[in-house]
Amino acid sequence: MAIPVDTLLLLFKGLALPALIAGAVLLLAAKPWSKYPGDAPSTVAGVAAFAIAFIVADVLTRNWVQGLDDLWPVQADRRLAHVARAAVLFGGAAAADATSDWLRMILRGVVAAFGVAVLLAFMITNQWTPAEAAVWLFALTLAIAIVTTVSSAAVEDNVSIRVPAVLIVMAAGVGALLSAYASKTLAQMAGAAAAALVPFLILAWRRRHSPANAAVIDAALPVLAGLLMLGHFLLEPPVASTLLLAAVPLTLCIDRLPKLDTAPRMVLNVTTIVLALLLVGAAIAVGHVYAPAPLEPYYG
Amino acid sequence: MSITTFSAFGITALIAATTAGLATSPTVPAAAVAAASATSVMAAETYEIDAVHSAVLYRIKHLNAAYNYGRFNEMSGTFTIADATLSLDVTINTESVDSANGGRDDHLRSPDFFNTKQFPTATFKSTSARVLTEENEDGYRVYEVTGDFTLNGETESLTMPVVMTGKGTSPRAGKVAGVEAMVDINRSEFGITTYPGMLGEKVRLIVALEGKLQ
Repeated sequence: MAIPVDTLLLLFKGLALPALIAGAVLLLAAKPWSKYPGDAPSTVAGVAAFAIAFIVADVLTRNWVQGLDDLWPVQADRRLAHVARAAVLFGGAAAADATSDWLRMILRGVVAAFGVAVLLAFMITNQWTPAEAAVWLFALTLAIAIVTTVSSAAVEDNVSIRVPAVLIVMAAGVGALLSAYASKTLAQMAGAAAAALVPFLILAWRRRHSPANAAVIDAALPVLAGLLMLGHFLLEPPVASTLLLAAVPLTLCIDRLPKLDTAPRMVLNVTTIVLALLLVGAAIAVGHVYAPAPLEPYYG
Repeated sequence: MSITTFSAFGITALIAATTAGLATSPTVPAAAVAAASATSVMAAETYEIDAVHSAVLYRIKHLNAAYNYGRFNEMSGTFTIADATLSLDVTINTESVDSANGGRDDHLRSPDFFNTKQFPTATFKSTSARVLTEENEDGYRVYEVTGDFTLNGETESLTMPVVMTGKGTSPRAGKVAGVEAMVDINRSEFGITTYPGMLGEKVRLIVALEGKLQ
């Protein structure tokens, strides 16, 4: 059976294109023309590669050409690209080597606070009291900033393939959960995020200690956290599913556990990825159990 | 349903008008305007919408093959009928979308379509109106109403023919009256851009309201 042209186009715009764009940025950042071929893509290149790929995919998959000049879209889910833009500015600065630890934490807090505020503004106007809003904004900002900081710190000594792998697993899990809870659009954006991370896998294979691979955490985590937050408040999947997915990046800290801190790199990588898959599997299983069973078949 | 009310000029004019984009005023025969201007003076009467006896339907083309219909089950508001004008203030609960398929209803409530958690209501508030014709072929007065339609957080001006479909008396509600309107909108103007190949760009809204005199 032939695949419809529209489907092929969507797959290209939502999966192939973000992967190609991120790959192209990383390739350019590696300066293949340089006299010193040992150069690796920098932290800024890592943040920018993911963010640019995600923003382009957001514009194209949402069929949002007329929105290019729309600086402040009213629909919350269309502000995800703003989070990616903020990640380029502040996340890029946070990931830079010269930035102090305290400033890193503050910059990550700024990205997180911005993401929470722009994506969940509708909850403040529609549902939360001012006190509830303050508590939610503070708690979510703190949680995202801490998870980003802890994950990033955990991979300082051992970047390798596990960073992009864990982020891809998380993005795929978020997409699967949101698709099961009826938003194909948000699932597509999670798919675009996963695709934009694939070139980082190749980079990790080619250059194990590339700074770009560690820095991509500062771009990808705020975007994935934004998708998860939006999905949680707009589609209301089980809280347990959301929390399990939110915990996926923490699997990068596994080498801080006793006995595992001296384990061979391969064992660490495999254990990290398997644990991330288990968390995602549990999140989807819980989501599936509590998903309202459709009364009639629905094919879209 | 008296959708056929529009058969004389409503649908024809509407389709002609919407070919250029958003619905605009249908052409008004000079005789109709003259007749309208000669109407007798009538006091303004405001009616509160009775959701049980009202309907808000939508129609959209699926796979460029067939029209799919759905409805919103909950609405509120008022309409006011005066001598030469009619005003509408309608609020639709988007969460009440009913397409006769539970799975599709969940999908319609998601950010892919109506995003009901962020935008729980859609509204139409008229800003101006005039009499188009004193009596259409079914004997009803037809107004041309312009107003602001807000859906999915986006507001666009719409102009549509609104037919006053009649008046009656209910033992329970007292005096009642009805109006009916139909208009085509471009869904992308309201931020609903998903599935461009699968679903049509034009969505027809059919609104039939019954209200009890306040």
